[in-house]
Amino acid sequence: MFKKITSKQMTPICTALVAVVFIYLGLTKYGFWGGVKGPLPGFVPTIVAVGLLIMSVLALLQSFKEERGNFPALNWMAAAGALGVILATFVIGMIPSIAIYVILWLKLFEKASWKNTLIVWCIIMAIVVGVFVLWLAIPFPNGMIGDMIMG
Amino acid sequence: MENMQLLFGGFETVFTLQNVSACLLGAVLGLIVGAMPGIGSLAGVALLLPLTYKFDATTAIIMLGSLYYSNMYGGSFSAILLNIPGDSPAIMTSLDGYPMATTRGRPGQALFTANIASFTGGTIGILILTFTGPALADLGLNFGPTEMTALLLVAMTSIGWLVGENPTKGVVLTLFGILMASIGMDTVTGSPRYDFGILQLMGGIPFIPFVIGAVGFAQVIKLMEDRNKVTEGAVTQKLTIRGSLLTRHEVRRLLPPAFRSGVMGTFVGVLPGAGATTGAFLGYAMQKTFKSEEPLGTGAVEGIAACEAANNAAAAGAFAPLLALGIPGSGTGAVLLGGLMMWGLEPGPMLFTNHSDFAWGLIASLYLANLLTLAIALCIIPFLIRILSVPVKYMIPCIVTVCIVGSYSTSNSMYGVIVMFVSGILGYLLDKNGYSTAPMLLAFVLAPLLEKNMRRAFTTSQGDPSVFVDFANHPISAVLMLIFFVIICVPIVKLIIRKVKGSKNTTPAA
Repeated sequence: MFKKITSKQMTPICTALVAVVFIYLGLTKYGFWGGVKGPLPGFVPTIVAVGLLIMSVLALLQSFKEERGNFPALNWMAAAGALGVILATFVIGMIPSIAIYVILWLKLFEKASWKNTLIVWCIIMAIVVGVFVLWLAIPFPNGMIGDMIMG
Repeated sequence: MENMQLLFGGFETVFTLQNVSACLLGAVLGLIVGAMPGIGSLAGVALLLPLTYKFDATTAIIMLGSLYYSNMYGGSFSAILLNIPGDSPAIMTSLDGYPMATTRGRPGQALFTANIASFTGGTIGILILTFTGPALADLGLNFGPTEMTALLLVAMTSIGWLVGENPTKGVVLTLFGILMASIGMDTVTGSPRYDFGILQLMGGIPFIPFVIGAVGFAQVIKLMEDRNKVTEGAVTQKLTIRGSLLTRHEVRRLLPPAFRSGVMGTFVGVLPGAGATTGAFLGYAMQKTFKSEEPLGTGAVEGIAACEAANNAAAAGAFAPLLALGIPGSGTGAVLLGGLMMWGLEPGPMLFTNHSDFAWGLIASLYLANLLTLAIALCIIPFLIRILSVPVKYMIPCIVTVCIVGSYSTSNSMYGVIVMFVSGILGYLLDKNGYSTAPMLLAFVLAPLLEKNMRRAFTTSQGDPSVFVDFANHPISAVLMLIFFVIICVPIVKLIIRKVKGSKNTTPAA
């Protein structure tokens, strides 16, 4: 049976585990019912978690008839790109990270021409700087290097 | 008559330079995002939500309403010209829209038909909303915590049941969404809970980064597969406004199905979970029972008109329960509701009493948005081929960037970006396993309201759960709970029946 476990089974197993944690904390840490006080902070989450546990078991039983999910490795490149921007933000700041990401993505990954790369880059930077920095006045992080330069 | 006076008051609120500009901006952005295949109204509204931060509550919601509304128009463009529906409500439009554009060689007329039908359906929907919204709010005033709890349970579970391939999965994500919303401060006592010792979690999971991730970022991960896809059979001929005009005879063919579907679509939109997609399907199905000049599916004007009018009317109708009861009918409605709450407004029966200017301003803005969207939609016909031919591979870094800066700007911290990233991965994994994220978002938004009402109901009944099914004192709650149990039990009963049937088939005959 364990040979059959795929991502289709992992989802209800994970939600069932979440439910167990919420039931345990709800009953032991946050409280369920307080006599005169009535429902305590753990009351609704515990009831919902019990429901989730039951429905997760049901979803798990149904999942064995489903076909294995397909997760192309290529799809994760988008997530890897975003993760790269997040990590680089802590070092060089968000705006330079995005500027570098767009060029690297289009030139190295998509093999786009310099003309198209620069057009897309200009559009994205116009949105980021024009809308978010100038119009919405969002103070984007400068990163360690930016903070050092700015003192 | 009183409603009309209040509506005129709403128009006074709307007709300021800032509000009209916001409405126009929302209409343009909504049309473009809606037209882009693969993004859809939910992701579109989620991605553009941070743009409204600069405005006051009324202007922000006017822009969001216009954005949501124009998305419905935009979805039909790619369905007609590329045979790729921009959003699920436009699936039915492609059945007649694409043949009319290609086989009959009349893409401009197909777009014109879709736009006029959308406008007609939308106008009918907003007119009905003008009169039913306040009436629904009056009904809602009679709802106590018991009735509200039952209503919220039905709203949350029905969308889980209607959306996605499997009702059980919908209910799982609904319940999961409620648990995610319970992280942070307790809604009644204000004490921290389920923060797992992480400081940031004490403030809860921020809604906008969560939505941007679960919908927008998850979508971009999915788009990677199709980034080099070449659309075969796409319309390439040059379009002009003059060359797209309909004849008088075609307008006469268009109006009756548009009126019928407009009325039907509005009432479908009012139902929780039904939404624009169901409206479009039913509109098309209804048209099949009426006479069409050409057979449906071959490029009939009636086919395009029926589904486009129905989906726009449903989009307008969905505002009635959203404003009057605080119950969104769809995932996109949930994002709008989240936006309303972000500005400190609590939709529900009291909205029409306490924030009358706001509620009527929003309704009036829908009239304006409908008119502006029609005008823009007709004007951009010559440029549509160019807009729709932007390769997906160039859209990916754009959307990733908007996800990152958008989620940062709403929280002013990297915590928001991390929430977006994690919920994006979660949304992608869930989607790949056949779980639609819309019920989770709806539950996430409604969970605080559900908890507050449920706890009040239990406190007043001193812990007696039978209060919810007490026909004598709480008939509305009892009926709603009956519906709720049916929704919950159907998947379980179905599974048991399937098991019994399966075991009968495998047992050898005696």
